[in-house]
Amino acid sequence: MRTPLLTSLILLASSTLASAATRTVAQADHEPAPAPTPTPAAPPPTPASAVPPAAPAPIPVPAASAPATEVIGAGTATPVVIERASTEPASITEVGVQRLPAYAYPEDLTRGLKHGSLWLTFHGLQWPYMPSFSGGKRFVMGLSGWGWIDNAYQKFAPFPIDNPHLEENRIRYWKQQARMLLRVTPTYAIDRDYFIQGQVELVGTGDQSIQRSAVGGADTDDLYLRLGKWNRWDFQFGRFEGWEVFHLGMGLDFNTFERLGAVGPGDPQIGYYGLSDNQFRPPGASGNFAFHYYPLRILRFELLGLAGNVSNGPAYGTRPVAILDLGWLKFKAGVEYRKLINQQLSNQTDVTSKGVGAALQFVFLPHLEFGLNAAQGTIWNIDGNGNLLPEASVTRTSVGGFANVSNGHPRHTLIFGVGSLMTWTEDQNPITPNPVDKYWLYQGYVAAQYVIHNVFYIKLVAGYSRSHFALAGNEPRVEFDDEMYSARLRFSFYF
Amino acid sequence: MHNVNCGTLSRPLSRFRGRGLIGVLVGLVGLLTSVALSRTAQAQEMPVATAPAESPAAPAAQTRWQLGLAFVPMGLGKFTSSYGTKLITADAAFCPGISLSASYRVIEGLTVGLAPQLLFKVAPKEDPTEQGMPVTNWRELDAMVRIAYAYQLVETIAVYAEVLPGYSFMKPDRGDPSLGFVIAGGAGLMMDMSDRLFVNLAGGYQVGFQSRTDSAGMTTDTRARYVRTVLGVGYRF
Repeated sequence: MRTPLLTSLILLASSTLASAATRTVAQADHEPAPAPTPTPAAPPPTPASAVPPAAPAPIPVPAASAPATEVIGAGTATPVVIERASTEPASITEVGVQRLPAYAYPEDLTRGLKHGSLWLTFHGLQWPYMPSFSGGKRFVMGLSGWGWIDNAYQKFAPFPIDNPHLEENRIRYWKQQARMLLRVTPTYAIDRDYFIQGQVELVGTGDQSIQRSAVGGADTDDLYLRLGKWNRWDFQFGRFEGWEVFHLGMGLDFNTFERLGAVGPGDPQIGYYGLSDNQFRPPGASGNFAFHYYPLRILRFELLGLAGNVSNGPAYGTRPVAILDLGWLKFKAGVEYRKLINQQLSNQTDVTSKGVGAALQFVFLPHLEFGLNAAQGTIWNIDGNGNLLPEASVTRTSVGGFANVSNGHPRHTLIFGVGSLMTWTEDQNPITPNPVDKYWLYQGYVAAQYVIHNVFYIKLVAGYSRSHFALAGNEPRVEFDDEMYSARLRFSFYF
Repeated sequence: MHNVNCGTLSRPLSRFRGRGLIGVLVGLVGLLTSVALSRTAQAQEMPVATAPAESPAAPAAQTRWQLGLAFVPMGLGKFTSSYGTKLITADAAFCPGISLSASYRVIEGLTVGLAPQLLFKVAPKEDPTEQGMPVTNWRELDAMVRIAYAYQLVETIAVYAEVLPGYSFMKPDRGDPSLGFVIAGGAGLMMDMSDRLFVNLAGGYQVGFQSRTDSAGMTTDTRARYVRTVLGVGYRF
């Protein structure tokens, strides 16, 4: 009695397991492994080298799959193994679409206070970090991005008040601006170490008073290809930013009036210099290429090159940067060089810019981070006839510092930030009777930021800026000042 | 990396003797670095949390007194003074200041205390008479009472409103002082760094009603009003 009953139970269990396995295989055949997306884009600290708890399953690549085998008579004295010929690759390659998980944002050593300004930069680390954890080939389309909406008020107050030329600078703005981008990162992991990666950032723009998108329509931030070995080296080509050296903190964000400072429409141009001639994405028909090298976990190098057409002329440049990152201490330094000529062969225009800069940053988790920056750059400007333009040849010097304080709360993160930045510009015009032009620009801010569900940032920034101009071409020289007060509320969403 | 630096840690400090200041500094940097790295390494060995754990609520400190120190930059304001027979109001120059406060918690959320503040460069941006005269800088000492009410939004974060009435003493580089009432008010955020230490950030407005009497017995107004920004740190005990 017992034997038939046991046999029936075993058969029932086997058939149940087999059907379950069949269903699983069938589902796996038709659906790529879903990305683990419970974690927010703003990730908790995750060592880059650690295997994540929920690594995505590798997507099999049909062309590289081993030939199927079948065993007939397994368990008998004469088993027969039949190897079936490889089938044709499927006409549709399975592609994983994955919202970038936490481990894609490496934080082997701390990047900074969670949700703070340092934490939102990557200090030269390779990201998005999307290796194959199984060692096999893997193709995944990573999705991420961010967007922000600013509502800001700025008021300019130039003086002396009896200077009629300053009337055009007596202005105020109240603007709402916005920018949102979707970051698409197709990544082909050759194995556990080597990878090929592309990235495009599709940008939506809401009046940022910048030229690139003035025509409307499609715009991009990043647009690059990269190949290399994780945590060792890579080559990168296309449109992307160089590694940050000069860090401004929680204010003076990109594409804001606050970042421009107290420089009205009629004022001479002055802006902060932070080893930044070649740092940002190049304009026009030009692009970057870079070699990144990671000899140690704490040491990183970027050799950035620039080539193409900038401002209607061929240009080339370079910007090597080194980062020593101990987590709690980060030291960054670099130099840069760029030469711009005119596309007309007979034109002798030659604009050469050089610069050097460094930054020292400290992070004391979970409450405090701060840093100091300094940079100096020169521009040597020769016109189309081969003559030096002394008033357009300038030396720019910027020094600045920032400090962020966080309550360190995991759910209700509140961060206060302060920062100051001073810039001096002086031209090369000591020719009698013209005096040397000297300008300076101060920019300072206080900021408070609260984060909801790790992905939605609410930031209020109050800024003050003052500039001073002493102009050549007149004796006695014309001197005046400008001031700007600003308040800005920003909502950001990181995904 | 961890093991290598542990070697540095185990060296007795006496080995730095005879190496001079540079040797000691190098040793200290190495020591700090190795401590930081060892902490990082320890952190890596811990399991990775997939979701931030709710930290236990900090026990509410049963404290009554709090001391505060604040940087009070006044970036935007107006300066009013008499020039000859004319009373002129002009844009005020950027004016840095500091504030001290000592407060007592009367009931939950409500504190009352003293908050003197010192402003270092109370002056117009430029000569308001447009005669090319040098601008006179004043220093302003405000003896103020501080009444504040704080509302705890969540643990470690509170919003607060404050009113600071007081009496002001303005002293120029040379000449007669200007005296009178002053009142300030504002609202801000207070963030606990521990159960006793906190930082605060606030904005508000300050109005002065000072006037001065010269040697001839004539009384004229010399006063300032500012948009008030407060960056402070405090301690409860």
